[in-house]
Amino acid sequence: MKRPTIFSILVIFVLTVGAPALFGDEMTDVYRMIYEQSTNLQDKYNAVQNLISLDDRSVAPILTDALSELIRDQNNYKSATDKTVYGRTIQLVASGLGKYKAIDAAPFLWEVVQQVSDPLAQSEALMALGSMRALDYVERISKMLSDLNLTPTADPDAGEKLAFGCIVALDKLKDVRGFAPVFFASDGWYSERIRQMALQALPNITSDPTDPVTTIIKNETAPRKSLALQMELSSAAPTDRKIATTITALSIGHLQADPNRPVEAKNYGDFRKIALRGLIQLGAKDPGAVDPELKSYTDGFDTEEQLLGLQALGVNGTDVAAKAIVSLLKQLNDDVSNGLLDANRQRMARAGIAAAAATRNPLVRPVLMLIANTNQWSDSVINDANAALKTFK
Amino acid sequence: MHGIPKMLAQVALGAAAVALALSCAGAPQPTAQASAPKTPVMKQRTVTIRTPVPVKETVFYPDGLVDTYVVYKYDSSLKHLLEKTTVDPTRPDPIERIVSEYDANGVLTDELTYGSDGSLKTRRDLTWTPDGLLADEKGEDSKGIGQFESSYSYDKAGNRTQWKAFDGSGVLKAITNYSYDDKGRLVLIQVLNSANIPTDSVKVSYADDGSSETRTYLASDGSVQNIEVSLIKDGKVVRFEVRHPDNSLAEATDYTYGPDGERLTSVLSDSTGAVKEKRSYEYSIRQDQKVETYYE
Repeated sequence: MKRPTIFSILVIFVLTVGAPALFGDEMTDVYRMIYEQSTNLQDKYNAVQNLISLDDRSVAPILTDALSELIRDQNNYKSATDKTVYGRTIQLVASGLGKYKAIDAAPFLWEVVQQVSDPLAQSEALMALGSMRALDYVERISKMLSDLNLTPTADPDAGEKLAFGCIVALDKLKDVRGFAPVFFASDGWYSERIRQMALQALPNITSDPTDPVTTIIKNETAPRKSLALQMELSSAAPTDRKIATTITALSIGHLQADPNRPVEAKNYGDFRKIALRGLIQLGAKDPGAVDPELKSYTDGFDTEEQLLGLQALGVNGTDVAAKAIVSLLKQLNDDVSNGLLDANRQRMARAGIAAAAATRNPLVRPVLMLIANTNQWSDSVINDANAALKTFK
Repeated sequence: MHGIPKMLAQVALGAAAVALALSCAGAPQPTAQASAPKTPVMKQRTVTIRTPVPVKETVFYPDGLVDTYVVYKYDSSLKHLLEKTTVDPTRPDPIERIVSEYDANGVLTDELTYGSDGSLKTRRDLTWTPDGLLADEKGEDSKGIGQFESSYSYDKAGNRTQWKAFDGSGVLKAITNYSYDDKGRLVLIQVLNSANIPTDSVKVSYADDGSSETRTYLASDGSVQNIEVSLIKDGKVVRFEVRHPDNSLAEATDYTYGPDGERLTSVLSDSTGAVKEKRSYEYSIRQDQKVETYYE
């Protein structure tokens, strides 16, 4: 074939990268006409495919009419072949409506979700509702995903496809009501792919998941509480809301843990550690955090939790926190004065001294002086106390 | 013309038309001349033609969040589009992938469309006239069963004069005739059904000063269906309006362009001016060297 260089390059480029605007719109008319004249599904499918590939947003009303007609005539397509083509056609129409954000078509798309038995078509309709940000459907899509989360569907593959559509839709809709069902989907019966997708969608759904996270923290298992708290901490929620949620989490973590059930006790310990690290990272100075922080020191699941409790008290720095640190350091000092020096007390004393210094609160000075003058302590503890005292000068 | 954003064509055409002559490597040095009248001397110089090649198109919601984006992948010369991938960031896999195939001469022969599950959905075969104009296109499904066919005719100037649309079995479904005025401008598009009966038509008119182009869509009874107005500045569409039959505004799209004539943004608004969608476009610049003859 003859190829004039510059011209052919241009033509190829144009035809490859973009159709001339000149010929776009009458094509829409022609394919609409062909669609309307089509008497069998395959021809309708072909016409819809051509309409969508035109990349012309004026096809949206045509697709809306087509969807309405397809739903109305659903019962006419009974053979297996027809049902397959029917599902594919609905899928194609739904994707086009989502692409052009044809909000007028939302009621028809929801009809597809409810009435059409093809899971891929239902899923595409859900995603289209998300793409067009049909906020009127958030509640219904959330409810649908919540129901799916409860138990595997009779056809798990179909259930997965629906869950996929719900998650994508809720991700797009960006409404806080979608957070909880997507959260539970991330821990649901689905394949790893779907669970991962749900997990990745969570941060996109809302910048402030505090309300649903608080509900999850109050009512769910420790591993779910942990995941929810991590979501809250990594979110863009206001710091004061994050702190309040984390204090609630730490308190509940102490309250609901059953030390007689080892696995649960460990899970709750892990949950509280996430909360303590969060409070430290957030620089939480709320007096309401002191009690549960102190409890982590006194009743922590392991040494790590105890040390985190001390560190959090130091960051807290309020008078209440300082008094708690004074009290616990005095107790340690009394123990050591009575000949009870051991590695654990020594470790706790050093962490307690660091926490006392971190408070920058003068209330802790007397106890630091007391430790510095108690000869039973090792040199390292006494040195730490003296160094801490210097920070107050 | 399937799966192709219209605006990008304008970018490509505009860029080529803009063709900037930047460098003059090889141009002879001026020499001292006598005061006698000069005879023009033919000379040659190398010019660089900058062509913006779209590499990414991003669609945003009005709040600035990304809806979808399209990535265009080319061969090393940036002359042949190899793949167009549409991605929805909320989904793990691309929504669609269109792969272009070329013959040994670099002529586009096929476009293969793959769905989000990675499977082949459709194949479009293209044939061309000797002048490089699209002559025929055929669509097939993944099993090779015909879905549609289109054939195109042109006048000597290369203007499209007719488009015939067939179904997958080769049955003629519609004929579209294109008419031009003596300036070569499209003025009428007439669609006829398979029985050769006129159905819809589009009348195209132009402002005398070239500042606008209006397309009026008419039903078979002549009633106005809708009106499209393109406002043009410096040869580029800066605003595209869709109007109701009573000429009230339905929606509008505003465009901005870069220094090489490439479209940079488009903003779609409703009749009240509320933004419905924004798009941004990114480009690579292809630089072609060309020897140009001139007289001095």
